[in-house]
Amino acid sequence: MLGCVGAVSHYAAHAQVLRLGFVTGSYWNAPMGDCYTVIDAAITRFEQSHPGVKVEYTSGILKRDYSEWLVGQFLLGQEPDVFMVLPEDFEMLYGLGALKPLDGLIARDDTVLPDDFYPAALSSGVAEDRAQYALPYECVPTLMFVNKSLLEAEGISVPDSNWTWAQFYEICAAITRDLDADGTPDQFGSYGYTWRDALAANGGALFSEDGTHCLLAEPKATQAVAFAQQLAALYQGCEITAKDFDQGHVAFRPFLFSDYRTYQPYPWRIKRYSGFEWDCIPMPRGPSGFNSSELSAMLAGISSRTSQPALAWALLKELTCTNETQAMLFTDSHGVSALRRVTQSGQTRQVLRQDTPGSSRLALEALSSTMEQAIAAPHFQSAGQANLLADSLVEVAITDEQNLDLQLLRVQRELENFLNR
Amino acid sequence: MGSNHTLAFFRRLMFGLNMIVCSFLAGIYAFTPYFAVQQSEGLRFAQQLNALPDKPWLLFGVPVGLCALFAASVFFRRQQHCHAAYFVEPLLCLFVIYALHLDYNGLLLVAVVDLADGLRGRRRIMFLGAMAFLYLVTSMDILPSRLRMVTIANYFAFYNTHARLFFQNILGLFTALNLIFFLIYMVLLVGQRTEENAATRQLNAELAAVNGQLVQLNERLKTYAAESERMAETRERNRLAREIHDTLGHTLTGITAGADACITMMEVSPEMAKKQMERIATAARQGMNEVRRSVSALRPDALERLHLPEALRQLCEEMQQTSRASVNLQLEAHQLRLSADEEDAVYRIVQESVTNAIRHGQASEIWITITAASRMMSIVVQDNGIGCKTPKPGFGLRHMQERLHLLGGTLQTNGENGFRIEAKLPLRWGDTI
Repeated sequence: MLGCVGAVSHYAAHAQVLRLGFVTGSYWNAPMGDCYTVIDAAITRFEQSHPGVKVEYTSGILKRDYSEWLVGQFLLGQEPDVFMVLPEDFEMLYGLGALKPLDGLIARDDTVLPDDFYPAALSSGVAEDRAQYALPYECVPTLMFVNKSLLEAEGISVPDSNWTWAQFYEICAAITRDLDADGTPDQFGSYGYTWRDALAANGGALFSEDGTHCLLAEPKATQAVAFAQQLAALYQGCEITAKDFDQGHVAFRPFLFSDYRTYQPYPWRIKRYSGFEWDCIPMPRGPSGFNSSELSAMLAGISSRTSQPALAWALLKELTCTNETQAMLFTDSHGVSALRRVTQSGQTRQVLRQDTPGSSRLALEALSSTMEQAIAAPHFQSAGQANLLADSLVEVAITDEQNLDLQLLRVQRELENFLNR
Repeated sequence: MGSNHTLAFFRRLMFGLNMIVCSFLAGIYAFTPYFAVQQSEGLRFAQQLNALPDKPWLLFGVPVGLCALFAASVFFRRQQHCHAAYFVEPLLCLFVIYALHLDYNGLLLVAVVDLADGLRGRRRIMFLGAMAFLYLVTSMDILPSRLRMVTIANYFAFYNTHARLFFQNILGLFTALNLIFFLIYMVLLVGQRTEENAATRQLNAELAAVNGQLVQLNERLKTYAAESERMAETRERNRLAREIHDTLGHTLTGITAGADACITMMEVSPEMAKKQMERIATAARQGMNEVRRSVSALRPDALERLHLPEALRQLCEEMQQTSRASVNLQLEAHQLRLSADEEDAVYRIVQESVTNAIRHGQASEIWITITAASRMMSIVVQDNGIGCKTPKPGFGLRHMQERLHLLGGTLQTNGENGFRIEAKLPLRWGDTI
């Protein structure tokens, strides 16, 4: 009898262990100090508020190994109760049915409101069936890196946060020059700005949300591709490299917020981009859109097979919905919180201001609006492959000298064939 | 019995084969994830799945456990017939098939083989119909994807071409073997049933033939019985006739002879005639008694009162007195332990022979010799009468023959020198008949 009681209590004690799947290091490849600070603090808080519950995680799983590790754990039936979901794995995990739907939990929980989150961040965790399967843990928007020194040298002022394609093109055209008079330009307006950046800033989308249609021949999309083509034409086919950018010969470059947070403060500041003054501003907006860009979000979800759904939900909330954990993203990580109240708080502004040198004038106010206007890539089965195919097809269409609209119609048809195969 | 052993053999063979197939599939389910993870190819494996597979130990344990339950159910039913088995076994089959992601439904055939034999008529048709329906439903390829099941094809797809082909061939071989065993079993079962039916029909035909013979025999028996009754009547009539002849005939002969003598003596010596008349009256009364006895007991009166030797001596004395013939009795057999019918026969033969000698032979001397040797009694009656060269068997002689015949004896006559009757009678010496 005593043995039975002992076994049951032993089992009960073990049942109070929650497993957490966590990526070591930055998803966005930004160098980090102690990547466990945020998660350890969150676990400590959780364990304090849930006496008798212990949270365990396997440390040292790098981003490149994480997908294999997580899927392997699922296959062996040893998956963690709560785990980070890389954006590229979301579709697959949803397709396998590995993720627990969260709509019911969110609806029943008064402390979590969908309106607390930036829409794009929240919709990163929405699957094809329009249900929420993961919550954003950490987001990174794309900003525009500006070489202030170059602009100043050219007598051009740094654009404001509300700038347009026309301004962008005008500056690029003014800056792109052949300095050494060897017949090819060696100073460029932009580097790495693609038709996708333009599409996001023009309010367009490549695919419908359910992944059944391609919208590439829609006016917003054709405008975006035409703009990218127009911009590329400025550089007369020159191969612009990261080296040109690093050496200060390029004025603009789409830049992840995480990189900004890494290289703007000391000590990383002296490591790269030290030869010139630089800053980040929102992306230029197209005629039909806003100053928006695609949002990259690291998600967190619950295993569909967890034996402790209530505790797992509590842990997920601790990670994604509490001010304490989310605020630490600004102090101990390089991302942005998906929670409005955290990103817009005075504490966050103060942290960002302390980290940035006096001359930098990143419109911190613009961060929230960038998050607000950001666009989340739709999740549907085979979205990854469809995007790869679209990249190569549009690339060919841009370089082709024939009518762009007709080319895009052809690409759209091909992509739809792929989607409905 | 031999056929039953063959059926049981194929049943066990199918059972074993299906256990192997189920374990093989469960083993693939359980082993593949470990193999994939160990090869760091879990992602590649998972990408071609349409759903998350269960935990490996469940994938192996559940189907194997259910198979064990199924086996236990089959074993239990073999020990103790139970109607619930007709629901429990197919249900367990379905559970196993579900646990095997509908990759293998051959177990249903095992359930059919195990159960179909025990049902008859409409129930069997309903059972087979239901099982056929389940077999068809579980064979539908669309179901696993609708039910978000990871099929064996997904698992096989993970392996390289050689391994994949090997596994596919094993599964195909097992499935085909199961079907072949099932067909053989069914053919054998139908054959056995047909033979049993034929044997039953033949037995019925034989029974009908024997029945017909019995009816015929019964008819003949009835005929025999009727005939036998008629014969009994005839025998009884003959016997009565014999008795009348033996008693009345004998007495009347004596009276006639005595009356003739009386007529002759009446003139010579009325006194003698008177005595003779008294003897005739005595003989008539005795004859009367004989008739009465004959009607009631059918036994010579003398024998009723006396033993055979005394009865014979009295008979001879009376005959001598009522006729002018001299009757000599030589009785050499003593303590013969004759039964009543034998005594009757001896008495009547002697009585008839003497009467014949006096009546027909007009003999003056009669010699009677009775001897017994080697279980054979011999009665010889010789007279010195006129004899008869060709004696016509009259009523009396025929009756003697009949009496002897009934007792297994014989009668011979010789009329050349006087008349001689020789009767042979086998003796039973008191043996029980």
